[in-house]
Amino acid sequence: MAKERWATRLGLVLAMAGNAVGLGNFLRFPAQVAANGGGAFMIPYIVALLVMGLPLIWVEWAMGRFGGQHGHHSAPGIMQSMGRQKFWKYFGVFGLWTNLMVAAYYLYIESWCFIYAFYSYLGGFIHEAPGDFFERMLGAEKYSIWAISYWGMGAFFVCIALNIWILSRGLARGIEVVAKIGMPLLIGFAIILAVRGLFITQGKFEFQLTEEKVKELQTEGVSPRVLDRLAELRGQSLTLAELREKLGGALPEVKADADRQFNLVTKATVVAGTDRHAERDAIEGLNYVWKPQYDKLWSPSLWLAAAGQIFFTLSIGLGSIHCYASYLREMDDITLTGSAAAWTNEFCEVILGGTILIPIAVAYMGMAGVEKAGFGMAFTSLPTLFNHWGAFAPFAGFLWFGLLFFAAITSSLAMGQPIMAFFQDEFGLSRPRSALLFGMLLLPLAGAVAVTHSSTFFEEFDFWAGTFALVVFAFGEAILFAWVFGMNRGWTEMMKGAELRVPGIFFYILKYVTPIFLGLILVGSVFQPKGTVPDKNPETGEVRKDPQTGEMLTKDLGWEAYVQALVKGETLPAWEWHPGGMIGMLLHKDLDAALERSLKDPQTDKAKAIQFNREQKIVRYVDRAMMVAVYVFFCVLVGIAWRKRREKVWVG
Amino acid sequence: MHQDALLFMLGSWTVVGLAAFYCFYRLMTSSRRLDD
Repeated sequence: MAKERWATRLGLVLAMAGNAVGLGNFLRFPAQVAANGGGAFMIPYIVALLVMGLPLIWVEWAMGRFGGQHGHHSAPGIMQSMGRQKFWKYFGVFGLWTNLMVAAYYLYIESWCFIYAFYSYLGGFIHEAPGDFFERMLGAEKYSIWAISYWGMGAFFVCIALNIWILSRGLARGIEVVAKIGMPLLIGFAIILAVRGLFITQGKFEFQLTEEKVKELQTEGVSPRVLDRLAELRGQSLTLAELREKLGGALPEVKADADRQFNLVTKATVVAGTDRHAERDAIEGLNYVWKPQYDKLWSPSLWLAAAGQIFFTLSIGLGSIHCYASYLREMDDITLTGSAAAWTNEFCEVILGGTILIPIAVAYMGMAGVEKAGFGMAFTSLPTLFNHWGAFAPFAGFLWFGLLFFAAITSSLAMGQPIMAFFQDEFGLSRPRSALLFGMLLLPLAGAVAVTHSSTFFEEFDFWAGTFALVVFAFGEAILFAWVFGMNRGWTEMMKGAELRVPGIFFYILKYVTPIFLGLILVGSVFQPKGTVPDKNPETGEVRKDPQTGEMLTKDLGWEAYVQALVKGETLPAWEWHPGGMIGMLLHKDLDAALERSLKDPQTDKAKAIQFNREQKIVRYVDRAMMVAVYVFFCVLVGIAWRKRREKVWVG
Repeated sequence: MHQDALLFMLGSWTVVGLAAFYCFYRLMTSSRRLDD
């Protein structure tokens, strides 16, 4: 079988960058920055990029190229060729398992982007609220463990089929072509949206209504009370929020017609050149994202969040970078090419990712509206906001979801390739057959994700495979490269054909700092505590109270609570597992916290909520058993493959 | 826009932009062509 290669160097850079640029760049990054110290987040972010991100990128590229020279293009073989001990090939199974598990739900999100892009283009969100459409697409119902939507599932399977088809065409004619088309389009779409978004100017309203305009409003059916109020405002200049406040007394009288009448008033009074729907200038959204909170800089949670973001954004610990790099020749450069791919990802994240979602949301929803900015907002709010752009709205929706779709597909293809490569290398299957086998393995997992409530298969795969396993795998590979393979050999391997001289300090960073940094992240996420402390007013030192119930308020600071208590010599907070930490997740603390919250709501059907919580836990045991079974299945396959190799050597 | 926010934003953009530009400049001037 002729050895597969990348057709061009540009194709490789774009495919690697496409692997790294994903939904997280546009949805997760801005929310993380805003929630974790604003501009101050960038200090630990850049530090984590330099001491962990870039070194690990070079390590993964070097490991991949080394494995490729020994005939391996997936993590089990690559790690075994470096580690020699049997253990490493079974540890390398993470590089297959994680990809399959993540692909099972990632492709689902990819299919949402696909559906949303076309529905936006057809003007669907002009008539239907995106939140309702989202529920319809998932088929989710309250208190039901099942979430079945046949057309939603149909689109999901179309996306899976599309990925399999592209993968079956191979590196040069499949993945590389998609990257060469998808990446420039993605960047182009993002630039158009960012520029259009940043030009949103706060709505200004002036009240110089002529007789003609008043008559026009009368004939449109605006109530006399509202018109009287407008007359009182003559000569004033107001913002949208002020106008809403001033008309507040008059509008409730017209009740059902209030929105339409308010709309007519804004149309008649808006100052030319301002956006009558905008609460604020979009630039204020940039302020919201970037304003530094220096006091947070010493918080361990901020450093953990920044390291986590670097980790996810560069697609480290998946095994896909190893796979792509394994198709290089022995003396092909990896330091410059790897850095170019990593910095392209950073460009898409820091410059483009931070400039679209939050500025647009702040402009139309105000500061309060973006506090929960992130994943859900992209699907449930943004299409409505685009509607304020008139005739451009359907196209803007198409651009936004189109860019998310390209970001997703270039990443999902990178998840399929290692699994295909495993079947090709170790079992001699052809490319189309291994692509089909990948699809067959994916189907039961993807099917389970598609028919169940998101708190079960979807969230569990995301946490255990998409978050936790990445850190475990990266920690293992850092140890393997620096301490088992040996740092001297590793450095020599990394520098073969290098076009970018990596400064010697990185030798020591790779040997000591990166493993320690990863070890800390691993321990921090395994034993993550809730760290509940009283919510004190920083000026008076008094504990804040709930204005309605009078209860003392608390806040969860995680590790920060313990560091603060140690520094100040205070009593340590009582230990409780964080719902988002590894042990907390294992004990279903997140489900219990959600149940507790829902039971506080008087509208909750308590019996149904408790029953739903019980069912969620049962399904979680099933999905966990499934995850373990898939890992064991891959271990068995690895065992068989290596036995076959040994037999081949003896017979030969 | 808040001065500190502008400083951090432009600072981050400059670091990222320059690094990306430098890598692509080196790739384009490398003895191995980008389309090879």
